[in-house]
Amino acid sequence: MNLYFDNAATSHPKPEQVYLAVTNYFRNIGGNPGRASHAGSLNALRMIFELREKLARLFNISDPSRIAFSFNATDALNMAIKGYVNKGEHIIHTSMEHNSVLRPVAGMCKKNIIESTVIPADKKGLPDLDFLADSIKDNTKLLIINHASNVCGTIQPIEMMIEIAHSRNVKVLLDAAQTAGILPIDVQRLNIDMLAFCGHKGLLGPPGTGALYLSPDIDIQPWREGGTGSFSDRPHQPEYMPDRLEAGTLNSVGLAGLSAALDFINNETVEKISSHEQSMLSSLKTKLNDIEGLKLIGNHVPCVAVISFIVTGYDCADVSLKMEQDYGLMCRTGLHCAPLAHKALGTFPQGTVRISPGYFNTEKEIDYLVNSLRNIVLDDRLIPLKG
Amino acid sequence: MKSYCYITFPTTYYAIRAESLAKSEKFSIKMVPVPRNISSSCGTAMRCLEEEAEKINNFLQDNKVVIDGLYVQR
Ligand SMILES: Cc1ncc(COP(=O)(O)O)c(C=O)c1O
Repeated sequence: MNLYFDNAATSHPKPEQVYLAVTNYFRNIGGNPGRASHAGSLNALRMIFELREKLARLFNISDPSRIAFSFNATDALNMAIKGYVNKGEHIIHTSMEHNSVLRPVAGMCKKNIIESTVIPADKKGLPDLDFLADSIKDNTKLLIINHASNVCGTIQPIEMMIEIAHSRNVKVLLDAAQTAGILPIDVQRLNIDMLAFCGHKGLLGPPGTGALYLSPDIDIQPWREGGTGSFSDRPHQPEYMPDRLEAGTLNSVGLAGLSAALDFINNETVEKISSHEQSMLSSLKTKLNDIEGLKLIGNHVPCVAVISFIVTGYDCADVSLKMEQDYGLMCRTGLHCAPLAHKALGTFPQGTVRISPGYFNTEKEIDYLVNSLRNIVLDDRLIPLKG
Repeated sequence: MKSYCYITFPTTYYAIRAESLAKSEKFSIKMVPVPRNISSSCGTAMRCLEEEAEKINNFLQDNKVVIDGLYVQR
């Protein structure tokens, strides 16, 4: 038996209609969207237009042209960070950020372009809000928040954080890599200035898809420049969205799959998806808590279905190897591209074992996972860590 | 011979948005490459009959489609 519990990295499997849409698009449509006026190109453009409208409905975005497609969440975050913050300005972000935020920010700091402040988090992965308020300066331009941790699932108190930022004229970039398609997100109600997400996790689409939404009063400098099929006689990138940020051929095959995935999500509803994930999460937490020697990390507060644990005295690489070899369980181990989160949670540098169930996992599979882990921790002989 | 009108747009996003709106209102339109003697920032234009052009143009503008220009070709 092989069971996939690594949906925080990328969701698998996808809804059947996603595979069908990808094949159908690739075989039968295939034109380059926006580059010509023949049926192949126009049909591609129509598919992408509809996808933009579906995403706009999902996130309550009033103008779909403010959504620019990217190739993953990392790409969207780079576009936002490098395109919005200028020389001499200041960025604040949480300790729970992924390397897709930490590294672009650190890179800009190293080149002396900007400065940054990290908000400390407690052992639950929650930020120090007083510290946030105190660290806003005159040149602070942007607050970046990872909506839910890809290490321990902690959902950040974004409403309070956005309010603090906005009261001091600081714009907010929300990294929704772990929450798009899993938690309801209303950009207008929440006053989100920029929303970055990928299509291949909770949105259940193919890899190579993602997007950045910009609220109407945000303009950013394009990070990627090139052909758009519009204003071709001009030397510079067009001002119009989405062309401003969409230079180069899009991953239309992936986007066709994402469009089908959104139909699936729309049919099931985000509420139903969320409630299935929450019920798996709470039964996992309760049952794992009963296993002596297994310690859950974070996981005391509102969370998405991402669980990290350690087995006291043992290497997590060894635990996850046994999980796969003896029980066919696929999960991830290590730092999960978020070193500061592990420092806050007290699991740096050894990391954790991470289990992330998805919409297609069942309660029965959760029981199998728990029983396997009980066997591994209690009965099997793990090799103790030296020293 | 029929005379046609061409509606041009700044980007393909608006061209396809215009098409989708016009089709939902059952206007008789076709998306075509922009004729060479018209200058447009986006290569795809909406072609319609001249007598319907004004109505379509107003309808699209009411629906927040950004239009570059309107050209008659007799
Ligand atoms: C919180 C968070 N941000 C960003 C990313 C990067 O996503 P992607 O792999 O689509 O670039 C991930 C996942 O890897 C993530 O969990």
